[in-house]
Amino acid sequence: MVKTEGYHVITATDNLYAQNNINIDLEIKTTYEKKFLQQGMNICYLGFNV
Amino acid sequence: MGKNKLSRFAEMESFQRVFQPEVDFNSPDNTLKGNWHTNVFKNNNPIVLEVGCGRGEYTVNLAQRYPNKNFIGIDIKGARMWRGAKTANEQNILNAAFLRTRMELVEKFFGSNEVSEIWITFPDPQPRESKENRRLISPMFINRYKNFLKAVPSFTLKQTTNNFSITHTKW
Repeated sequence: MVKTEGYHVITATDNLYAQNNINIDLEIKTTYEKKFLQQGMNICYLGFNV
Repeated sequence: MGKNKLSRFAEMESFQRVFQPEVDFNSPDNTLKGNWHTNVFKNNNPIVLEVGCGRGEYTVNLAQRYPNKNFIGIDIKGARMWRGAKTANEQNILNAAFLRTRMELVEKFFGSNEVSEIWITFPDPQPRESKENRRLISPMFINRYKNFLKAVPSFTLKQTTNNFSITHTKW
């Protein structure tokens, strides 16, 4: 969607917690995120401008 | 509806910065539109939305970290929102507010250039193609957000798949 719509990607990762020095705001975890992490799933992150 | 939900809805009515207006597609724009700074937050700090906020973890935590910004959690699920709203109320977090409404009606609540940033964390994936317009990151919604976002708005999206395509979002 971001590519097809021509949005400007600021940051993108398909495994947020494998990154070094991640923004501490991104370490806030929702209830669903905690469940997904317990299931061993990776958390993806995308920041973009339109 | 369960007693627990009803009691939570009733309790939310007593919270100062929780808004649960009865609005539908035929309703006029809500009185909050264009007035969040003056009527709700009493300051001119940037407004950040957490769209599909669920229990409002981001709204509450970011509001605590950034007192010079205002945060609004939006969701239709009131029983979940109650958790974040209650925390914000108990801790007197003045720069956090909650709006309970359907996202399809969001333009009735925000005026032009009123919002600086949007966070979307683990949105309902709506995997069926027939419901792709309900996805909070669909172009239809992005275009709606543009109507009240500032000139160079930014979006922050967290989910469990790296395919952010409107046709393949999934859990």
